[in-house]
Amino acid sequence: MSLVLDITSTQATEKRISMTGNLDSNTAPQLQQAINIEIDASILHFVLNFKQLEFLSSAGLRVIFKAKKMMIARNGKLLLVNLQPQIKKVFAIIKSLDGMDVFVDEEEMDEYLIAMQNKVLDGD
Amino acid sequence: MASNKASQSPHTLKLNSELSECTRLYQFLTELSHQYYITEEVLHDIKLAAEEIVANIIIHGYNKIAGQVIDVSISTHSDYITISFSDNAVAYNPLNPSDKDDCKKDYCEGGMGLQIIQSVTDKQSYKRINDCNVLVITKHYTVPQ
Repeated sequence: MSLVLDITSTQATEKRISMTGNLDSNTAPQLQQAINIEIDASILHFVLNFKQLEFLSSAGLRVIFKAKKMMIARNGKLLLVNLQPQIKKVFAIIKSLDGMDVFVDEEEMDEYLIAMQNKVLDGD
Repeated sequence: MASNKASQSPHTLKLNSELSECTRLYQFLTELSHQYYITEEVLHDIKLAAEEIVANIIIHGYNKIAGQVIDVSISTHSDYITISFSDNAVAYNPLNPSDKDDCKKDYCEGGMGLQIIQSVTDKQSYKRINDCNVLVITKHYTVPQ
Protein backbone atom coordinates (compact mmCIF):
# COMPACT_ATOMS: atom_id res chain seq x y z
CA MET A 1 0.00 0.00 0.00
CA SER A 2 1.29 3.48 -0.80
CA LEU A 3 0.48 6.67 1.06
CA VAL A 4 -2.72 8.67 0.73
CA LEU A 5 -2.91 12.14 2.28
CA ASP A 6 -6.13 13.90 3.19
CA ILE A 7 -5.54 17.59 3.91
CA THR A 8 -8.09 19.65 5.81
CA SER A 9 -8.26 22.64 8.07
CA THR A 10 -10.81 23.95 10.55
CA GLN A 11 -9.24 27.36 11.02
CA ALA A 12 -7.07 29.70 8.99
CA THR A 13 -4.08 29.10 11.25
CA GLU A 14 -4.37 25.32 11.27
CA LYS A 15 -3.73 22.50 8.81
CA ARG A 16 -4.41 18.79 9.29
CA ILE A 17 -2.91 15.98 7.26
CA SER A 18 -4.45 12.53 7.73
CA MET A 19 -2.27 9.71 6.46
CA THR A 20 -3.44 6.35 5.13
CA GLY A 21 -1.07 3.51 4.29
CA ASN A 22 2.70 3.39 4.72
CA LEU A 23 5.09 6.23 5.52
CA ASP A 24 8.48 4.83 4.49
CA SER A 25 11.48 5.65 2.33
CA ASN A 26 9.34 5.41 -0.80
CA THR A 27 6.48 7.61 0.35
CA ALA A 28 8.20 10.03 2.74
CA PRO A 29 9.00 12.50 -0.09
CA GLN A 30 5.27 12.68 -0.83
CA LEU A 31 4.54 13.83 2.73
CA GLN A 32 7.47 16.26 2.63
CA GLN A 33 6.15 17.78 -0.58
CA ALA A 34 2.68 18.17 0.92
CA ILE A 35 4.16 19.88 3.97
CA ASN A 36 6.23 22.21 1.78
CA ILE A 37 3.10 23.23 -0.15
CA GLU A 38 0.49 23.35 2.60
CA ILE A 39 2.34 24.62 5.66
CA ASP A 40 3.04 28.26 5.04
CA ALA A 41 3.94 30.98 7.52
CA SER A 42 0.30 31.52 8.47
CA ILE A 43 -0.05 28.03 9.93
CA LEU A 44 0.46 27.90 13.69
CA HIS A 45 -0.92 24.43 14.34
CA PHE A 46 0.02 21.55 12.07
CA VAL A 47 -1.72 18.26 12.84
CA LEU A 48 -0.60 14.84 11.66
CA ASN A 49 -3.33 12.22 12.04
CA PHE A 50 -2.03 8.64 12.20
CA LYS A 51 -5.37 6.84 12.52
CA GLN A 52 -5.09 5.01 9.19
CA LEU A 53 -1.30 4.81 9.03
CA GLU A 54 -0.18 1.19 9.12
CA PHE A 55 3.56 1.53 8.90
CA LEU A 56 6.22 4.09 9.77
CA SER A 57 9.97 3.82 9.18
CA SER A 58 12.89 6.14 9.92
CA ALA A 59 12.40 7.94 6.60
CA GLY A 60 8.98 9.01 7.80
CA LEU A 61 10.33 9.98 11.20
CA ARG A 62 12.85 12.30 9.57
CA VAL A 63 10.07 14.17 7.74
CA ILE A 64 8.11 14.46 10.98
CA PHE A 65 11.10 15.77 12.96
CA LYS A 66 11.87 18.26 10.21
CA ALA A 67 8.25 19.44 10.35
CA LYS A 68 8.48 19.87 14.10
CA LYS A 69 11.65 21.98 13.76
CA MET A 70 9.95 24.10 11.13
CA MET A 71 6.91 24.75 13.33
CA ILE A 72 9.06 25.60 16.36
CA ALA A 73 10.98 28.12 14.27
CA ARG A 74 7.66 29.81 13.48
CA ASN A 75 6.49 29.71 17.11
CA GLY A 76 3.95 27.14 16.05
CA LYS A 77 3.25 23.55 17.04
CA LEU A 78 3.22 20.13 15.45
CA LEU A 79 0.53 17.90 16.95
CA LEU A 80 0.35 14.14 16.51
CA VAL A 81 -2.96 12.35 16.98
CA ASN A 82 -4.29 8.77 16.86
CA LEU A 83 -0.95 7.00 17.00
CA GLN A 84 -1.49 3.27 16.54
CA PRO A 85 0.56 0.87 18.73
CA GLN A 86 2.97 -0.14 15.99
CA ILE A 87 3.59 3.55 15.18
CA LYS A 88 4.15 4.47 18.83
CA LYS A 89 6.67 1.65 18.99
CA VAL A 90 8.84 3.24 16.30
CA PHE A 91 8.82 6.61 18.08
CA ALA A 92 9.62 4.85 21.35
CA ILE A 93 12.64 3.06 19.85
CA ILE A 94 14.14 6.44 19.01
CA LYS A 95 13.01 7.76 22.40
CA SER A 96 11.36 10.73 20.76
CA LEU A 97 7.77 10.58 22.03
CA ASP A 98 8.46 12.73 25.09
CA GLY A 99 9.36 15.75 23.01
CA MET A 100 6.18 15.54 20.94
CA ASP A 101 2.66 16.89 21.45
CA VAL A 102 0.73 13.62 21.22
CA PHE A 103 -3.02 13.22 21.61
CA VAL A 104 -5.02 10.04 22.02
CA ASP A 105 -7.76 11.19 19.70
CA GLU A 106 -9.10 14.26 17.93
CA GLU A 107 -11.46 15.09 20.76
CA GLU A 108 -8.56 15.47 23.19
CA MET A 109 -6.61 17.48 20.65
CA ASP A 110 -9.51 19.79 19.83
CA GLU A 111 -10.01 20.54 23.53
CA TYR A 112 -6.35 21.50 23.72
CA LEU A 113 -6.61 23.72 20.63
CA ILE A 114 -9.68 25.48 21.99
CA ALA A 115 -7.87 26.08 25.27
CA MET A 116 -4.89 27.53 23.39
CA GLN A 117 -7.19 29.78 21.37
CA ASN A 118 -8.92 31.02 24.51
CA LYS A 119 -5.57 31.82 26.06
CA VAL A 120 -4.73 34.00 23.09
CA LEU A 121 -8.09 35.73 23.21
CA ASP A 122 -7.67 36.35 26.92
CA GLY A 123 -4.30 37.95 26.25
CA ASP A 124 -2.25 35.35 28.14
CA MET B 1 -2.31 -26.70 13.81
CA ALA B 2 0.74 -24.53 13.20
CA SER B 3 3.63 -25.90 11.24
CA ASN B 4 6.63 -26.61 13.45
CA LYS B 5 9.03 -27.97 10.93
CA ALA B 6 12.77 -27.77 11.13
CA SER B 7 14.70 -25.44 8.81
CA GLN B 8 12.86 -24.78 5.58
CA SER B 9 14.47 -24.18 2.21
CA PRO B 10 15.11 -20.51 1.68
CA HIS B 11 12.52 -18.30 0.09
CA THR B 12 14.15 -15.80 -2.23
CA LEU B 13 13.29 -12.46 -3.74
CA LYS B 14 15.25 -10.22 -6.11
CA LEU B 15 14.61 -6.53 -5.64
CA ASN B 16 15.55 -3.78 -8.06
CA SER B 17 17.37 -0.76 -6.68
CA GLU B 18 14.24 1.41 -6.55
CA LEU B 19 12.50 2.50 -3.37
CA SER B 20 9.14 1.57 -4.91
CA GLU B 21 10.26 -2.05 -4.48
CA CYS B 22 9.36 -1.74 -0.80
CA THR B 23 5.81 -2.66 -1.78
CA ARG B 24 6.94 -5.96 -3.25
CA LEU B 25 9.13 -6.59 -0.23
CA TYR B 26 6.17 -6.12 2.15
CA GLN B 27 3.95 -8.40 0.05
CA PHE B 28 6.60 -11.10 0.03
CA LEU B 29 7.06 -10.94 3.80
CA THR B 30 3.32 -10.85 4.44
CA GLU B 31 2.69 -13.95 2.33
CA LEU B 32 5.47 -15.73 4.16
CA SER B 33 4.02 -14.76 7.53
CA HIS B 34 0.71 -16.40 6.61
CA GLN B 35 2.50 -19.55 5.52
CA TYR B 36 4.46 -19.86 8.76
CA TYR B 37 1.85 -18.51 11.19
CA ILE B 38 3.96 -15.49 12.09
CA THR B 39 1.96 -12.98 14.13
CA GLU B 40 1.16 -9.44 12.97
CA GLU B 41 3.49 -8.01 15.59
CA VAL B 42 6.46 -10.10 14.49
CA LEU B 43 5.65 -9.42 10.84
CA HIS B 44 5.67 -5.71 11.54
CA ASP B 45 9.13 -5.94 13.14
CA ILE B 46 10.46 -7.94 10.21
CA LYS B 47 8.99 -5.53 7.67
CA LEU B 48 10.42 -2.58 9.56
CA ALA B 49 13.95 -4.01 9.74
CA ALA B 50 13.80 -5.11 6.10
CA GLU B 51 12.67 -1.69 4.91
CA GLU B 52 15.45 0.05 6.81
CA ILE B 53 18.05 -2.31 5.36
CA VAL B 54 16.82 -2.23 1.77
CA ALA B 55 16.38 1.56 1.79
CA ASN B 56 19.90 1.96 3.14
CA ILE B 57 21.32 -0.24 0.38
CA ILE B 58 19.43 1.61 -2.36
CA ILE B 59 20.18 5.11 -1.08
CA HIS B 60 23.70 4.77 0.30
CA GLY B 61 25.03 1.60 -1.33
CA TYR B 62 23.70 2.09 -4.83
CA ASN B 63 23.21 5.90 -4.60
CA LYS B 64 19.68 5.37 -5.96
CA ILE B 65 21.10 4.23 -9.29
CA ALA B 66 18.54 2.03 -11.03
CA GLY B 67 19.35 -1.34 -12.55
CA GLN B 68 21.09 -2.82 -9.51
CA VAL B 69 19.87 -5.82 -7.55
CA ILE B 70 19.34 -6.75 -3.92
CA ASP B 71 19.02 -10.46 -3.20
CA VAL B 72 16.78 -11.29 -0.27
CA SER B 73 16.79 -14.81 1.12
CA ILE B 74 14.64 -16.01 4.02
CA SER B 75 15.09 -19.21 6.00
CA THR B 76 12.50 -20.29 8.52
CA HIS B 77 13.27 -22.47 11.50
CA SER B 78 11.20 -23.86 14.33
CA ASP B 79 11.18 -20.65 16.33
CA TYR B 80 13.17 -18.10 14.39
CA ILE B 81 13.54 -16.65 10.96
CA THR B 82 16.71 -15.41 9.28
CA ILE B 83 16.74 -12.94 6.44
CA SER B 84 19.84 -12.16 4.42
CA PHE B 85 20.27 -9.14 2.19
CA SER B 86 23.00 -9.23 -0.42
CA ASP B 87 24.18 -6.41 -2.65
CA ASN B 88 27.26 -5.69 -4.74
CA ALA B 89 27.69 -2.05 -3.81
CA VAL B 90 30.94 -0.78 -2.30
CA ALA B 91 31.99 -2.48 0.89
CA TYR B 92 30.09 -1.04 3.82
CA ASN B 93 29.13 -2.50 7.16
CA PRO B 94 25.92 -0.76 8.26
CA LEU B 95 26.26 -2.28 11.72
CA ASN B 96 29.42 -0.34 12.37
CA PRO B 97 29.02 3.13 10.89
CA SER B 98 31.45 5.85 11.86
CA ASP B 99 30.18 8.49 14.32
CA LYS B 100 27.33 6.18 15.34
CA ASP B 101 26.66 8.09 18.56
CA ASP B 102 26.43 11.43 16.76
CA CYS B 103 23.99 9.90 14.33
CA LYS B 104 21.74 8.71 17.14
CA LYS B 105 21.77 12.11 18.80
CA ASP B 106 21.03 14.21 15.75
CA TYR B 107 18.66 11.82 14.01
CA CYS B 108 20.91 11.90 10.97
CA GLU B 109 20.63 9.53 8.08
CA GLY B 110 21.43 5.97 9.06
CA GLY B 111 21.51 6.48 12.82
CA MET B 112 17.81 5.96 13.39
CA GLY B 113 17.66 3.12 10.91
CA LEU B 114 20.34 1.16 12.75
CA GLN B 115 18.68 1.78 16.11
CA ILE B 116 15.43 0.44 14.72
CA ILE B 117 17.01 -2.64 13.14
CA GLN B 118 18.85 -3.52 16.33
CA SER B 119 15.75 -2.95 18.43
CA VAL B 120 13.30 -5.10 16.45
CA THR B 121 15.58 -8.02 15.59
CA ASP B 122 17.45 -10.40 17.88
CA LYS B 123 20.70 -10.70 16.01
CA GLN B 124 22.47 -8.97 13.16
CA SER B 125 25.66 -9.86 11.30
CA TYR B 126 27.61 -8.57 8.37
CA LYS B 127 30.14 -10.16 6.03
CA ARG B 128 31.80 -9.18 2.80
CA ILE B 129 31.70 -12.25 0.52
CA ASN B 130 32.86 -12.29 -3.10
CA ASP B 131 32.57 -8.52 -3.54
CA CYS B 132 29.10 -8.55 -1.98
CA ASN B 133 27.82 -7.05 1.24
CA VAL B 134 25.80 -9.67 3.08
CA LEU B 135 23.71 -8.55 6.03
CA VAL B 136 21.78 -11.15 8.00
CA ILE B 137 19.13 -10.51 10.61
CA THR B 138 17.48 -13.03 12.92
CA LYS B 139 14.08 -12.74 14.56
CA HIS B 140 12.74 -15.18 17.11
CA TYR B 141 9.04 -15.83 17.23
CA THR B 142 6.60 -18.04 19.04
CA VAL B 143 4.61 -20.41 16.89
CA PRO B 144 0.94 -20.48 17.97
CA GLN B 145 -0.20 -23.82 19.31
